[in-house]
Amino acid sequence: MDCSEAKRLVPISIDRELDARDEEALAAHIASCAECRSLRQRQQELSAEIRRSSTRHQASASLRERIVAALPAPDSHRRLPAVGRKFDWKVLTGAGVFATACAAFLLAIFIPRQAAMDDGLADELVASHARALLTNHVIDIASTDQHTVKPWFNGRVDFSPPVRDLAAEGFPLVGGRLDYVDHHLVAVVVYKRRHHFIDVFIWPADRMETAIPALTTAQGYHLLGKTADGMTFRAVSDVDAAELRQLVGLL
Amino acid sequence: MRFEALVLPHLDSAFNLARWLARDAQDTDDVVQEAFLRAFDSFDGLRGDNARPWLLAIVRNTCFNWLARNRPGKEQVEYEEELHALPDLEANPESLALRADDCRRVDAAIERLPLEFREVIVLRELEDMSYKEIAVVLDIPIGTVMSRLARARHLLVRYLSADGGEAGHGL
Repeated sequence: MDCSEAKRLVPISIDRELDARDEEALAAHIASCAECRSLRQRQQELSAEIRRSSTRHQASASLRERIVAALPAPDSHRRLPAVGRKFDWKVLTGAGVFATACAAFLLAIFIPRQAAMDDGLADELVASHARALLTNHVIDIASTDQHTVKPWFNGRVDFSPPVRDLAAEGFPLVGGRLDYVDHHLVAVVVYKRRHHFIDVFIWPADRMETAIPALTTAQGYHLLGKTADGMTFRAVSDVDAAELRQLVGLL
Repeated sequence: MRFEALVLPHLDSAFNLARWLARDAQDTDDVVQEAFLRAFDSFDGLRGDNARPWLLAIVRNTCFNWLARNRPGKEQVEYEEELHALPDLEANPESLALRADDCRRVDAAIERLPLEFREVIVLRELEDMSYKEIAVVLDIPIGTVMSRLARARHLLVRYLSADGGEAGHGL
């Protein structure tokens, strides 16, 4: 490899986009060429400095809330609330329209296979869990004491969700919150397993008729449920499936 | 809902890109909110599960439309000005001599980049996107991603080394 080729490859290598063969050839060249070695060093420093010293701006909590609030209810997909401004179709180039058409076609092919997973309720529970994590709103009442969390639900929901102290089993109680699922107010009891949050959604079994799902996995989250003592339980988390199964067994 | 699970987690990426493109916090909120509504409306156009490049492409389009509406002509002029006399990274003998307290200088240097180079740096270095993902966001070939990145980095070296002294505060 000569220097001009090495100089071309250095940034690609720093961006971790070089294939193994070129990476090896570049390393061999750099080992014997002080000039290219120094170039690599400077470019690495630049990249590291930009990453270290630049600001990655974050959306404010109020923007987050505004966007979540503006999203339509699950049943009314494709019906946007009044936006005030009409969608500007001109932004879609010809290529964009073609790509959209292709995507719609592919989607039509793949949807049947996904149908089992696209159970609306499972999606809603997973979305609720993801949204809670995302908005840092995992719990309305923070307490590791079941005798604090359980009474908190009194007067907030018209049923009494079981709240357990499972710290000894490795699932410490974190707290609880309220959520809406399929237009029903449900209780969410939150447990932790190491650094993972586990949401346990609870509602009276006669209120929403649902089949008891086998372990479902969607977008990296596991979902598992059961019905006991007239209550429906659905646990959602990114913990190991076996651990989630263990927790559901304890509820 | 699939949209919330797939798209909403990328809000910070969306905001970061829009903020760097618009360079104004208040405007960014409006742009991002509009972009999310558009994304929701065209959600059927998303293929696969990697929503981030798809979302950022929408954010970028929304942002450019917004810039065209609200600041016509401005970005274009900057772009022409910066095109000539690109510095040569290889010819720059001294190290960049960047200091640890240089966050403001680095931000200022990125901000000073013409839009076309700024966006590629933000996607690569701040969002840690692959060439392929960047190509999707910008709707350009991977080769163009690479050449734009190279020019962007050359410009950053120039901004950061030339303004190392007192002049840095004038940015």
